[in-house]
Amino acid sequence: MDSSQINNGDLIKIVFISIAKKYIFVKPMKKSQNIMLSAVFIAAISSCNNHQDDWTYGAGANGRVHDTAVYSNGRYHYYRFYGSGWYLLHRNNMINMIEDGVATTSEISSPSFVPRTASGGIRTGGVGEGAGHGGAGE
Amino acid sequence: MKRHVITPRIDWERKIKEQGFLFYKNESYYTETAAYEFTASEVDQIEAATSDLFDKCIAVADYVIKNDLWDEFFIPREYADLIKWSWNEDMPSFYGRMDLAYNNGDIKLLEFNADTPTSLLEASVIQWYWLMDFDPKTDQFNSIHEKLLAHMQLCRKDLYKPEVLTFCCAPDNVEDLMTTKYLQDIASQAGIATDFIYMDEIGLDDRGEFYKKDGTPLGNIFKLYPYEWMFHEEFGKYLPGSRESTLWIEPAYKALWSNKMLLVYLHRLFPDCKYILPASYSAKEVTSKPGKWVQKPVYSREGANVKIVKDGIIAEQTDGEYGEEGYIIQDYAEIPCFDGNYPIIGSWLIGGVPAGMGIRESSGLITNNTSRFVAHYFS
Repeated sequence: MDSSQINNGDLIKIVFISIAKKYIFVKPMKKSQNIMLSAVFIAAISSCNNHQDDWTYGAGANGRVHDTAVYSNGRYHYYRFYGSGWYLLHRNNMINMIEDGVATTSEISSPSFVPRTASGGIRTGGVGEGAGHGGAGE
Repeated sequence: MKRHVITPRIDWERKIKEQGFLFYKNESYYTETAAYEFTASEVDQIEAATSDLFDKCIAVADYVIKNDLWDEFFIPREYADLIKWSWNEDMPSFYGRMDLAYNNGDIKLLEFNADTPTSLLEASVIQWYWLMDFDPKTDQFNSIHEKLLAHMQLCRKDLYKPEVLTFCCAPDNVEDLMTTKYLQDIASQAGIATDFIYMDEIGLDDRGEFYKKDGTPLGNIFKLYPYEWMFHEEFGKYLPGSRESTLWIEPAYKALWSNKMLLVYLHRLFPDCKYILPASYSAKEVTSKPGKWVQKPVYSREGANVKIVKDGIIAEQTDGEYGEEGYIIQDYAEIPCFDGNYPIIGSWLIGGVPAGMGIRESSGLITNNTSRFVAHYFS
């Protein structure tokens, strides 16, 4: 049979067999068909980008930092002096002047100074200290 | 497996930042100057090995729990019941990553990051979008995102009521934060109500129940934070007593698999498995032993305190603060070198099913937190 003798029914059969063979022999892709990132993640990206400028090492004019430790609620909290007062020192060895309040030298020296207060009889800080200056993932 | 030098996308930096990869600059962690090519058959081998190894990890967990081998795994006894309970009840788990050496078809398990694996966003999202630009017609061993979404939809029924899953990670680390936020995003897409706090914001009331600072009970917590640390922190001792009121993901039994003693027991129970390297325990550092071997602390992270010895000579060594519990001595698995780069395959499991891989390459033999993530494809 040459191509001039193929009628519509034969053509449909040939196409069908061709598709079926392809379907049988082509392995399904192992990759995701589509990846959508939604509002939770996009907000996190935006928040991280917006807050990158909030962080500073808090070094003085001489390039040095001035740190102190405050003992409260059974553990040490570290503070760095910058500008006119003391800021909580985070694990990235930086301070955040936007998010964290400033404490004066007299406040931080007081035995009643509480670095982070928990409300309603609920204590915090009993877990999560292990990461040090690095992350906890691996 | 081939390594190709390629041209980075012109605007790659903008693209990956838009996709949430904000930590790519950490020690030059990401590169688009190279990509690894696999054959479909090689990918099938890696998938099969991952599945087989996971079955054997299950057998080890069964064995350890039935034989109360808590001391051998350096797990405090007060957590034994919690681990047993989480295992017997098959409490929900999202993910894990096996690090594999791949050398011309020979696959060996180096370790199982079962509790707090990262490099998830890179493997799932970043390299997928890279492939869409590079050659969308080629394939990639990577259905991590799809499988996570489907698996979280399944896990939803296991959450405690009210059905809110709180995602937590250690503060001040962008990599941990974005990994956790990525998982939170998928959970949200799976129809789970979610929120987020940092680990040090987890609160405890007078009865030893977990709450947020505002008094909201923490019924379900995903934590990117290892049990080996929580077990030794103040609030850790409240984990067993609160197990009916707070569900933790990953589950407590992951403390068995994220522990290097897993490698010793895998070898003891399956000495003939072609994917498992001979491994033994030593309470002290080993100074002399014939052959090629690797010493790793029982508890260590990011390649710290690892020593590679070849024929009596230290080939490579990293420092760190680990080793208190002793070491495991594992036979050395040859890792191929591509122009001075040594790739390790991170093979992902989602809900216990192989789901994809990410490659990290190092300039030395030890993969650590300075190793680079490199995309892959196969055709």
